[in-house]
Amino acid sequence: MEVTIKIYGDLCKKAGTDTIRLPINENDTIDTLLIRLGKRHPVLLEAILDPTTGELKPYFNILLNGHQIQRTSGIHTKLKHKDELAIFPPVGGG
Amino acid sequence: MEYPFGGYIGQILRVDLSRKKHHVEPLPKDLARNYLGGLGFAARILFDELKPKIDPLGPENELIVSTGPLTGTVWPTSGRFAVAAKSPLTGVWGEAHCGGFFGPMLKYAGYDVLIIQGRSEKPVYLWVDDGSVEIKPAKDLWGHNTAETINMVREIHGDPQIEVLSIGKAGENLVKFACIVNNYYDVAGRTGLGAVMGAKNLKAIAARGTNGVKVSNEEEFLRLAAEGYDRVFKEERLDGLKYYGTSPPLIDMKRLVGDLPTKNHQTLIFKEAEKFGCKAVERYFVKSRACFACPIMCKKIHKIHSGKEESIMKAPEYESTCAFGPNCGSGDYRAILEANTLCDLFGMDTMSAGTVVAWLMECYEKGIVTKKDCDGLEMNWGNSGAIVTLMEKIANRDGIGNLLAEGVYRAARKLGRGSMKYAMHVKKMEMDLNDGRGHRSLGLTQATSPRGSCHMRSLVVVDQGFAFKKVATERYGKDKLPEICDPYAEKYKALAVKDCEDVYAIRDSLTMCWYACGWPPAFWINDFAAAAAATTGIKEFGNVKEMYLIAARICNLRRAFNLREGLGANGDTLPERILKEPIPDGPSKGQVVNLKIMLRDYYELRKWPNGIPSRKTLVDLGLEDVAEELKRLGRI
Amino acid sequence: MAKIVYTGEGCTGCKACVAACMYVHDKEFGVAAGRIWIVKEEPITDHPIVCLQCEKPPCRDACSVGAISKTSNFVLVDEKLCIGCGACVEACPFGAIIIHPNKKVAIKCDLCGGKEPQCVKFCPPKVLKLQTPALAPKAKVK
Repeated sequence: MEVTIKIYGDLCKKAGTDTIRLPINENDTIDTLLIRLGKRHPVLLEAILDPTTGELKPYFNILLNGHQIQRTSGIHTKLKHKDELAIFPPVGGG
Repeated sequence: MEYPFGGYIGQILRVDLSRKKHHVEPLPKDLARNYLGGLGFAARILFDELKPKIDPLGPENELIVSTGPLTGTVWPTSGRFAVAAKSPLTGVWGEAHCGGFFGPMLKYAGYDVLIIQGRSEKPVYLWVDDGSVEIKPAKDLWGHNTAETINMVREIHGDPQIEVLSIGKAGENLVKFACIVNNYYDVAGRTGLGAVMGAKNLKAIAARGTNGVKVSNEEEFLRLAAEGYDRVFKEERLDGLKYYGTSPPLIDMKRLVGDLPTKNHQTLIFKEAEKFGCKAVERYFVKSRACFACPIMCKKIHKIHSGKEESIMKAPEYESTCAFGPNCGSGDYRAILEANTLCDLFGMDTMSAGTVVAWLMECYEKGIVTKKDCDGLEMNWGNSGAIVTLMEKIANRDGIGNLLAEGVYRAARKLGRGSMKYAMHVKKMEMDLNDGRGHRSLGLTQATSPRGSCHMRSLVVVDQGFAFKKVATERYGKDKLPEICDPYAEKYKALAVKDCEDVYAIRDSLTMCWYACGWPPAFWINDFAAAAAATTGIKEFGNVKEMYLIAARICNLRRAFNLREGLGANGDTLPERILKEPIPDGPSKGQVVNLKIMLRDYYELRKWPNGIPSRKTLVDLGLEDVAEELKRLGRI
Repeated sequence: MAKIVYTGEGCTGCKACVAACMYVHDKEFGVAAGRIWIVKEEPITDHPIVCLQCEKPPCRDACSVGAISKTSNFVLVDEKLCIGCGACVEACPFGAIIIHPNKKVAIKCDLCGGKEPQCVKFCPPKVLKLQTPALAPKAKVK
């Protein structure tokens, strides 16, 4: 089982790539995945996590298959095979 | 010539093209004190000086070019100006805002506001050179595109530093959505103000000034300006804009969350949209450019190859990208660059142009028009060659271009055959490339914007996803979450829309840029208040409550202008598609906009019973004279 | 000699430097009397022009009233002596000295009188630098 993580905007400069594939197990949630992501890409994780709280910086967007993760269980949302996560720096406007 | 307030020059230049005369008036202190500048000045002057029901293309219309107290200083993003008139596209309030360099130069030449009245018999241009003002023949300029005109004026007067506002063929041919251009690609885009200039036979306005803008409290102003710059430098949330420009990061997000108008708003996802995202356009990057003194530097120049040919063009903004791309079903980036460039050269609004082409494409799809009707063009979705060809046809009112040049509402009226169903407009102005079904607050914004469908008057960012929940909490309170951040919820949206409409009215009066306060919210109204007070020395400006009061006054005045023209709450609508057709696919599947409940909340917050400002509301804002006039005309 | 140098690329043509410079000297923000100015050419040229504080200044040599002199740090115009003839403007190969449109005397970069150069401070892409003699061998001017 694996998921794809896509990195957007200037974040992919920090990550050095725009697509990362990671294997998952049955109980993986977004936050456990991010921990593993952080081990491979510490620079990226540093860019998106607040070092004092360990929480996602308040202005980053994570989409799971196009939906804001806050509409499900947020950072504790369970993942399944072929899920696609998108990590976004904040963007707004029209 | 010292004006008692800093920031302002203290002079209005009034030009009468019919009588070929001009004169300089002092800027009334009350006007500065109560309306701030830019948009505020334009709203008050036009309400006072225009009679209802005049022809927007006739000599009685006035074109206002106005600056604010910050314009021309080094306050971040203040190098802008406002343009306003009665709109030939909508028949009601018309305004557009613009960057580049013209605004500051008008002030350096000695004027806060320029009022153009009447109509010249022959093509002319205005030459404002410090204290000298001349109306000069423009026979040799007429027919030239905006870039050529800017260059020719500079050559005629032997100075490449002259700033020029110009119209192109579209303005000359009275295309209903013609625009006004300075600095080659900085545009006062919407509501057809270029046609107002064209109707007056005014080809260009050129300015050069050797003086400068003084500020009242130098130490405080410089401290705030430097701190403002620093904030922009340190704001990592601005990195996307600084690196990629305004379009690619937004395209990437909107295409993923299902908020990208596609094929005339038939849906909100477009499978080829990746071609316009950050990764795809990065390869075209040549350099960044900026408006006057701006630290955000959002303009990008792109180089693109087509076979052996290489072209360098300015990269389009998000609205233009979507208008000529996904909303026309096209994945052709080069064609977008070309169409955008042609609109700059002909002086035409990209959003209206793209939307009217999308309308034609849908009519073609539905069999309402044939290839023959379209001058032999196959108007299939994605026919990018046809999109580019139509730009010139519209500017020249050639063949089908003549129909499209009228704007989507009049074109659909004329064509009939059930085509109005596909005309995406509000108050006769073509929709901006946003959709309330993917971003709910935008639905209310588009319905209530005084100039017709427009996102800029009150664009709310906090409901574009939960990334902005911290901002939402600070501004509106934790109890408004999660609905206020939910792109698909109606609740609390009116609160955010009304608040943004007020803050942006101040933004457009100081004159500052959307990117100062939109996304990310680097500055907000408390910063505007501090800057205005330090610049002008008007202590009251430093009080945020006073700023909100001025904002409400300006918003009510615009509403009153429209009411006087006979447009009331009946204009606060959205196209049927947005209200009734659920999005067929993608993350926004099933969504429609419930406009009624948002409107009800908005009217309540504005104190407009059934959408009409009450007498008390107007009087409380110091608009008793406006209330009297509306009463006299039976509007309230 | 200390001088303001352009790193060679990245100027966005915004003119913040011009307005900041004019403010320092004339107490008003404008673009006509900056001692730094920008050459802009479509589609992509934006280039700052500012005095290079020449070792053998042609402007000084051209001045017939001795209004231009060279100190150990920079080339200086004595505005009280200047007669506004424009000979220095003609002589400068860079166009870095101009006649002030209102004061009618020659003006040029004076390194903000030894204080923090405001053009450097306000440049958004940070492509202007104050080059001091100690750093000269390392700094590159393209």
